[in-house]
Amino acid sequence: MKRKTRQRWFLFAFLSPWLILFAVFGLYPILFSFAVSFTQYSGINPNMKFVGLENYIKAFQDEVFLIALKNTFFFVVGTIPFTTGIALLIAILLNNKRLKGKDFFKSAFFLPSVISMVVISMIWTYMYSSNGLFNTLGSLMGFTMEDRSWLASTKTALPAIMFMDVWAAFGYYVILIFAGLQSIPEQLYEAARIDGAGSFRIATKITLPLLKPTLFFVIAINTIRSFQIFSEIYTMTGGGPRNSTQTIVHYLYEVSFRKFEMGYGSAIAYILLMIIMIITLIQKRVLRKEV
Amino acid sequence: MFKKVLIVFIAILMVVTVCSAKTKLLFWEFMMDDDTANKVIEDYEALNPDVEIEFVQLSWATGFDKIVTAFAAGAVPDVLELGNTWVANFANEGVLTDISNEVEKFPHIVGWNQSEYDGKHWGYPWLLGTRAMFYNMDLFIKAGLDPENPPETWDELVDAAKKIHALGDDIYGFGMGTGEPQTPWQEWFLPAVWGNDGNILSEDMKTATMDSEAVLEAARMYQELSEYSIKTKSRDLRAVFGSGKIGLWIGQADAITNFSTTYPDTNYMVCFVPKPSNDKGFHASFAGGEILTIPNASKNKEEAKKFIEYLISEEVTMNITKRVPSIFPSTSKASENPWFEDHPLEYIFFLQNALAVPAPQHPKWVDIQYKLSEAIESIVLDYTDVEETFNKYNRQIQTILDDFNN
Repeated sequence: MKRKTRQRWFLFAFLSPWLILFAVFGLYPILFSFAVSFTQYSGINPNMKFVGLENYIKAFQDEVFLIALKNTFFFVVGTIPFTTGIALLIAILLNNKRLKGKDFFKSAFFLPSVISMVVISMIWTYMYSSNGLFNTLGSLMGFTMEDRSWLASTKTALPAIMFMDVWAAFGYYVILIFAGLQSIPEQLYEAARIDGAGSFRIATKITLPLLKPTLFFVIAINTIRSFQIFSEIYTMTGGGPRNSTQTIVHYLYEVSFRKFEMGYGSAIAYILLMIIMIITLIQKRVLRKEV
Repeated sequence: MFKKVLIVFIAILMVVTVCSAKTKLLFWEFMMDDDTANKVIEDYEALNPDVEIEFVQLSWATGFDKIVTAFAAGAVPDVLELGNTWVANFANEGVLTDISNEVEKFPHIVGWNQSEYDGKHWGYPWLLGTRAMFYNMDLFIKAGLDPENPPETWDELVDAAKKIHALGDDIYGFGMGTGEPQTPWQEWFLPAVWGNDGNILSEDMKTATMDSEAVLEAARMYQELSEYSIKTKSRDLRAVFGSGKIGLWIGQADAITNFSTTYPDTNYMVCFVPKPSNDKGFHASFAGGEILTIPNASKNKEEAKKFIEYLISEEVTMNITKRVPSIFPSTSKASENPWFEDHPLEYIFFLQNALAVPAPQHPKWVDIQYKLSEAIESIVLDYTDVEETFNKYNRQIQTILDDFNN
């Protein structure tokens, strides 16, 4: 066997565990669910009936799906600016050389990212409950608080989950943006200062342009993650009250695993995939223009 | 010669192995904790040395998904516990064993209607849980009501709730479940409809009847009651009742244990759920129930039936009730069990079970219940017009039924 051929075999042998796992647990389910999205299939018994594009058409005539779509967009638009904005602000503060205890702050902000979202959701469910932290604090501050959970009202349930999500997510992005800031060469700042540039000019002409690739990455993964919001909804509200917290992934879970409509659930999953792809491409065009 | 001896020896060994092989039964359940299950299984295995039970405890958070996945993969247990509202769905998919010819063998078992779908029975009622009405005796006295005579009718209930709510803005006459998929109809709108001799589906389950007078009467009462109620999630209702700020609340029996440890100072009693009026209807409550089923793919159906016969016995079910006092035996023989003498509040729940009604066993119940909960929340949270709202949701439920029937 030639040396090159042998090398190729070695390469394949070392990659094969990952390739096999990906093929079985990644690629196969992806392709299978794509095929299933064109069928009527309960998932429990093996009967499958080809229905063409019916599931995709049904989605856009389904009132609950449209509510879930609207709620998901509201969630994405309502959380990403705050998550990214707060993360950027804190990362800039942490980047200050005179700040003491940087490592402590970094760990503290990152802490929610290492806790399971289900655990966080359960803790916040208690905090939002009728006699939870928020109602107790409100009463102590002299406000008239209703004895009801923040998650039981159609007006407050989704904003309450969004608030929690911003708290739980921003720490992770602080670390990413902080790493991006650290990678900007110090000489550029020194040169700018010698040339008489002020703080604002340095921020807009050096920091932000050089941070753009990091910001693009942060916004892109934040968008994808936000579109896929599930465990918070599943744990805290189950999509209620009156579908006010229903989101796309939670709805596709309900459709597939509660109503046994795997075909329809798969179609919803592929609609979500298309939405995420389009939005990510738009973001790429807008944010990468000048990078 | 040696060869022959070896062949005979191997043949004997094989016969002995086959004869001594134990039947392995796989049992998936939610209700028993490890200790209870191990004791129950040990006792059964001692009585049946040829059977080995492998037990898996499912959690309410993930159990349903695990069951669905097991059916999809064809890796099902021999005995499977299902919630009563799930049975029709699985039966409709043709994955459960029809056990209709077993019903007559168990005259003491109640709640067979919880496992019935399409005129057949798909499982054995095992443990039954229902709701009864809790009322705060101190608030009753403060509001000038007689704590010895809790409300028995809808009018009495609304009147009591109004008087209690008049005690203060942060004192509520009634605790009304909202904000969750099931609570709005389970506790307590739909049982009120059943108590009023009505239902939201026709008997053949082909027509939505949310616009019927029996349903609308219950809806009007519920909307009026909501004016004096706190409307939130069931967990919150329990906490607010425990802290002495709710006069009346329809809840589950496990609250008794919870109150005795977390809110020992709350002075409360339990009574039957009210009925429409003295000369009409009955004290209906929601029947929650655990059904033991045998999946079609099980290879040990006869052994599974034998094991289920043991599981639904008074001895085993009372053992579970003592550890989980929110759910009660399906056998009527348990009414004479001395444990109830020391647990009078739990006994009221056990008696309420006889008046409990299960949700309609329709495979599309999940979709229907969401619509029903939306309708209820609309009239009690946004005070929308009862007739208009229920007509709207009646049409939506009819569409679900028509889609299913076509």
